[in-house]
Amino acid sequence: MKVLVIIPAFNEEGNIRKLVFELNKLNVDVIVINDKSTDNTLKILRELKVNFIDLPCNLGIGGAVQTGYTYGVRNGYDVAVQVDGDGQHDPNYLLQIITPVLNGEADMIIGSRYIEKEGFQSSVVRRIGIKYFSSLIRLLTGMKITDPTSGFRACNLKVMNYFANYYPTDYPEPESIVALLRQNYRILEVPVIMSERQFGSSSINLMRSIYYVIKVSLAILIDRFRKKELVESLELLGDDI
Amino acid sequence: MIPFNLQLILIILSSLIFVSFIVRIKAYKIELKYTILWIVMTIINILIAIFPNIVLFVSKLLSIETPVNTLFLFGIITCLMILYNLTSEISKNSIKIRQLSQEVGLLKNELKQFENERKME
Repeated sequence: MKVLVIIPAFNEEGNIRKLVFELNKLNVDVIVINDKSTDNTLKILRELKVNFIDLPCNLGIGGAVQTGYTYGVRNGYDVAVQVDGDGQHDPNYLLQIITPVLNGEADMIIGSRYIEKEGFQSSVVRRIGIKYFSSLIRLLTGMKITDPTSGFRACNLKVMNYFANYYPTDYPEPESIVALLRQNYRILEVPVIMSERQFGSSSINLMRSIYYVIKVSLAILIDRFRKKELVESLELLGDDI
Repeated sequence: MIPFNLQLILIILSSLIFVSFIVRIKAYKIELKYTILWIVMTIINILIAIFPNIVLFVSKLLSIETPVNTLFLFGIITCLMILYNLTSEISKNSIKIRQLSQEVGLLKNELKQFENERKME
């Protein structure tokens, strides 16, 4: 089974070196997606001799991660793990996250901070937001996802293929969960410990948080009205180009 | 009855928009595909200005007291239709740009792998 680690990176000059270093120790294939960083991220990636994709335009986290999934599908990987480039995700949990996918217990695994409630729990405001999304998803799909905004996730080829064809552009995590549940994919959560971002700043401020909540809520609600067949039509759209 | 001044302004404005679009299309600066809505709307506008009875008829139908308001309503609906059209075109374009950017990134990566392999040999 070939495993690919996808790291979306936008202005992560302070964090990427350590992350790549730790992943190299684990002996897994890594692809870093440089989402048109304006700092030295690209230079560091060249120095590290790590496999990376340098995007010509800033696509946002969703577009960057999707590039990684497309890469995974085209290069014959069986499992893809998404690890954020900001150092919040500890590569030592990789095995825990991958194992259920390898065993066929689930199609996607989410690393959740809120099962064992250890480590960095995020700010109060964000926790309220996460709780809200969690309740919304539970209300609409009946599935309990404790950490719907977690970007620490592993998935199998089926889900990879789906994400390569369809993935939301910005703030994609909760919406993609609902989309997967709609198609009866199996999602499981495993407990992980996350740390606070080490260098640089998060891209989310007050205005963006408001936009985040409204956009993601609408996206989740609208997704409930989608049919399964939509996937096929989107695949056709992808073939045009 | 609509005032003659308004009638005149409508005809001049609509004709100007109509002509400028045709000129731009002739020069290959604007794609006809995106202007069809504009052209149809300006033609309808000119027709209304020349035959204001259309407006009077619609006003009676919708029980709008002053025919000018019918004209404004029509103008606003036109604007909304064009905006809707633009929003959908922008969305389509941003999807295409995303797919193209991803493809360019993937190709750059493949090219580099290729070069590395050649250097090894």
